Amino acid sequence: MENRIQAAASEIVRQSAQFDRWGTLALMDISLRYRRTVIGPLWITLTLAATIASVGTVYATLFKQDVAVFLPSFAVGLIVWTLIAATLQEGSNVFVASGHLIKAVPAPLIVHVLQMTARNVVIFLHHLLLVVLLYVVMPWPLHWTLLLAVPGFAILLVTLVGAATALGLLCARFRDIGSAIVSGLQFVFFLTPIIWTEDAVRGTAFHWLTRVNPFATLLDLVRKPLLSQATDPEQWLLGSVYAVGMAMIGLGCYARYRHRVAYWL
Amino acid sequence: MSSAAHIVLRNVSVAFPVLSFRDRSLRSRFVRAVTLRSAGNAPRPRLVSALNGVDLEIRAGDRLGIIGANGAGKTTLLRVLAGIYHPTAGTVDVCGRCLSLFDLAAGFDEEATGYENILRRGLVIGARRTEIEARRAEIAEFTELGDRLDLPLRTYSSGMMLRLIFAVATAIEGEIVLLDEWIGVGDQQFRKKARQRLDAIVARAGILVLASHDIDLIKNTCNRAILLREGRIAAAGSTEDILDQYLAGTGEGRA
Repeated sequence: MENRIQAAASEIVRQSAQFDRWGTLALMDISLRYRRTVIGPLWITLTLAATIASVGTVYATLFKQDVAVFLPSFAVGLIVWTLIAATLQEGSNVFVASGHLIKAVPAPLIVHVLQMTARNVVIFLHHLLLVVLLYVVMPWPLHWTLLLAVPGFAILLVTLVGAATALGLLCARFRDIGSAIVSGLQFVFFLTPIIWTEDAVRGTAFHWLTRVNPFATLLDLVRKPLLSQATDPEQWLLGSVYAVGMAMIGLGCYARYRHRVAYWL
Repeated sequence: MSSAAHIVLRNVSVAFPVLSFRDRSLRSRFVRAVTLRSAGNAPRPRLVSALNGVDLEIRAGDRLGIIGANGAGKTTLLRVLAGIYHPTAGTVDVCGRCLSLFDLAAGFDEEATGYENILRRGLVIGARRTEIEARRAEIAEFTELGDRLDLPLRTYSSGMMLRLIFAVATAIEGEIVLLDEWIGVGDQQFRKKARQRLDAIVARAGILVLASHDIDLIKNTCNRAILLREGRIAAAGSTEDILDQYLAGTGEGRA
């Protein structure tokens, strides 16, 4: 087993280093998908902006919150959540979707996961335009803590790649999980402080949710720095634990099942 | 370049699980576990054995023909050699860069232009970007498609598409060439050109493995042959002997 883990790990490291392969494929995927539109992937950014503006103001009014506080937090929260949800959802389908390719061309399976993740990261980068816009509109000074978004994002990415690999393998074998994940993510969306804030639940029974929900922790490691808010060390520790744990689960599944996938498709 | 290429298969078996709708459901497995139905009652996924205890050694210089009826395991064997299927039992040792010339259209995208597809397919089969870009002009020239390579693939006729697919697939050489039936594409003039290129690739390759139903092709191309029957190597030896056995088996007596 140890040898298999080692072989799988070195395969993943080798393939991750070949950025020009999966990176180029991911960029091509996006440019092809939006070929016949004028503004390309910015269409999704525009849709997201519309959602943020409408839902954000409505909820701020409903929950009697200050729009200037709620809207930025909701906006960045939704942008990061979109990345999480899309990567997990596509991740659960990643090997099934490339089934014909997997059976036709010998290539390490992790390439498909990396390509899918890169695609979603590129879309996420488009959405960051909205964050830039926030900084223009809001009277926030630029703070050095903004840079903490980079390690936060790294922790989130490692977790997502690990989870997508494990889910992809599981869903190649058991086809009914994909739909469960879609509804599960919707459920998690409401349990994560996106359309509500941590402050709003402070002192209520729901506050523990923001502590034990891994999605909340990982989301905040990107969101809080992006909003120039302070992050606490406990969240960094928890986030790192999630990242290492998920990476190990992903690696374990990859080592054990990657050679079976061609037979399941 | 080709002296080092070799392939060793030891006792290789491949068995496919035939997964029914129920087998693919985690929910039904969960329900079975919760209701404590004994494992004996639970139907195991049926296994179909595609290859069974295959021992094979291919050395540089070998031109191996794989013969057998439909479903005998020819394509599965090629896919094992290409590294697509990892055998359920036994060991595979392939030394040398493999060029697998089957499923050539995989990786192409209808919406992308001819040039983009050259890059795309190249990346998919694992070539480096620089390597593909270095050969771009050569591939484009071989297709004779000219400016049409700037158009999306969906506007191509099937003949044009085949030209592109063939040109891309054969642009990168390998020490080990795996062929599932000989590829013939395009109109008369292009067919001749394609034939010449394939001949050249095969001539340069250290090892050729060719699965085919075409008796004359195997006879002219290969110096060794194996006969597959229901996933086992029924016979191995010189091309003549194996073809005789195969033809005797199919009752198609030929002089």
